[in-house]
Amino acid sequence: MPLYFPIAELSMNIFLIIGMGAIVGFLSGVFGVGGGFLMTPLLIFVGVPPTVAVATVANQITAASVSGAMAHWRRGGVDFKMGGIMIAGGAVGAFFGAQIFSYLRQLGQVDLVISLSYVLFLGSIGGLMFIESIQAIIADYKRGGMPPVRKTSKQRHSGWLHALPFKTRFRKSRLYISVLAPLVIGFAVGILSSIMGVGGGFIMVPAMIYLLGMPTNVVIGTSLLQIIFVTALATVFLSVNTQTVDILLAVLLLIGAVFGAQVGVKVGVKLKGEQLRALLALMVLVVCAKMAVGLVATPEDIYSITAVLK
Amino acid sequence: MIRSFTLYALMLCSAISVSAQDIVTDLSERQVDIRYSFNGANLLLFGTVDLPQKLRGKRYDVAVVVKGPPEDINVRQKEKTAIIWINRDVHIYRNVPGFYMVASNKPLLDITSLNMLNSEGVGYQSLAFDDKKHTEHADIFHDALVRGKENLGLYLHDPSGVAIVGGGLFRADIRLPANVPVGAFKVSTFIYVDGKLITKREMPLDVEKKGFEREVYSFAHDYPLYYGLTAVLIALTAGWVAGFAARK
Repeated sequence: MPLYFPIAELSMNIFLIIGMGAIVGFLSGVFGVGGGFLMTPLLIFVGVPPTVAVATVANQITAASVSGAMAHWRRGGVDFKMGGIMIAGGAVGAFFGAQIFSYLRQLGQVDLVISLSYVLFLGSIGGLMFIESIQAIIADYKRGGMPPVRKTSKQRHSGWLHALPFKTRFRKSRLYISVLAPLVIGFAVGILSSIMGVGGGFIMVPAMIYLLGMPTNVVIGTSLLQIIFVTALATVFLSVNTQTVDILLAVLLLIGAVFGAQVGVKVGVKLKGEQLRALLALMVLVVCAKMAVGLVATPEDIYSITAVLK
Repeated sequence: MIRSFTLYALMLCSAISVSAQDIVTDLSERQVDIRYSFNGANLLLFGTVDLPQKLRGKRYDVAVVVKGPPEDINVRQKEKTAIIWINRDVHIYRNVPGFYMVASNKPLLDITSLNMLNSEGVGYQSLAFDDKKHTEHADIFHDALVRGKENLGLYLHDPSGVAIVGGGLFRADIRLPANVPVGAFKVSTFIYVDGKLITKREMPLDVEKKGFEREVYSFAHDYPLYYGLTAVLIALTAGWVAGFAARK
């Protein structure tokens, strides 16, 4: 059943869109990630203009994160103070990101920068995650299934972090660190949301665990809280700057994603943490490789046409 | 630039001089509405020609040109830089028809001469885009523009797209793809006998977004801030409902 999308300005099969939402929703349910890094390339792949894909996925992730954040909030897994500071940084980042995005669009380099950021961030994060999870699987195998030794609070805090000024106490995260650290992380993720059409969970979660040393039980909930706000702001900024948010497309993706995620969560609990991370890392690396090939391979036609922006 | 101006002037003059009675054309639809179920449109152009006394009984040829609203297009050339391909050189073309279809009953050059075709804007070769940058590569960029539009299904040429039914009756199928630009179209029909233009006829065709599609599009472009806030509100509500439903 074809459906005409008013902003993307093309006609696509309604079931294809809902199906894509369901697949990405399933994967995000399994792995506990937003799925923007999968959804945006997938939309571009089926012919949605990259600018529309980025802005629409930002909109869709807002919705996906609300339901996730609600679940974590109910069981006390959200550090509102930490989240609030990251949101402040993220708001400024999303604003700058949207400016950079429309500037790049004028230059005709937006597709290049989207692809480059994907290759850079997915490649490094996916690579690190893959190595780490494989090491964990091997260690688990050697221990014969015994639980790993927990790091002490001292070990969780990095040395350079304590040299920063404006320290404050985060009760929920049981941390006493500078507000600058979450502010900068939030800012960086905000920029990426606007440029890459992702929530940024795949950058934020490792940053919160490894850089800030936050306990794992509040990391996901807090990052989802930040993602809600930052993608919401990215949606508004991109609407104002480029008019590329397709509400109809976002809603249909969301319908699929909600159902997919329910199934995904059930499958996810059956898998071990390090197995999940290894699989997720592989998936991230596949998307990264696909993007990298697109950059390096000789294009079918070295000429391309785009409408001049008014 | 000058060429397209003279073209326009020529069209205007001849449109007045041709008597309206010797050719009659009509479209199955004068207005195409883009609604939620829009997946392109098939129009039928039909017409009848009454040749002047001295040409009665002679074979005639028909060319139909459908031109979409003008737009400005960037044509970019990728270059390999280090190991990746990056857009480098760019040509900006003004007033490029957003849609261009030419159909005829036989190949255009079998109908008449290149000059004749160019003077009426029939065929890809007659498309003279305004290009600010006249370099030696201008032709390559011009071809790339036509090729790019063809790949999008927005430029079509069909040398057997017009059927001459006989008795002065002819028909042509016009296929507008799903990604057709919106705005005012112009449908021109040209009748040739022995390579000479005998008569022509022009009709307007409107392609417009209607209903929900139009509301969403104009909302997004006229009130982008409120559109963005609405999009966020919908997302928050949908997420909240989904989260609530998931708990049950």
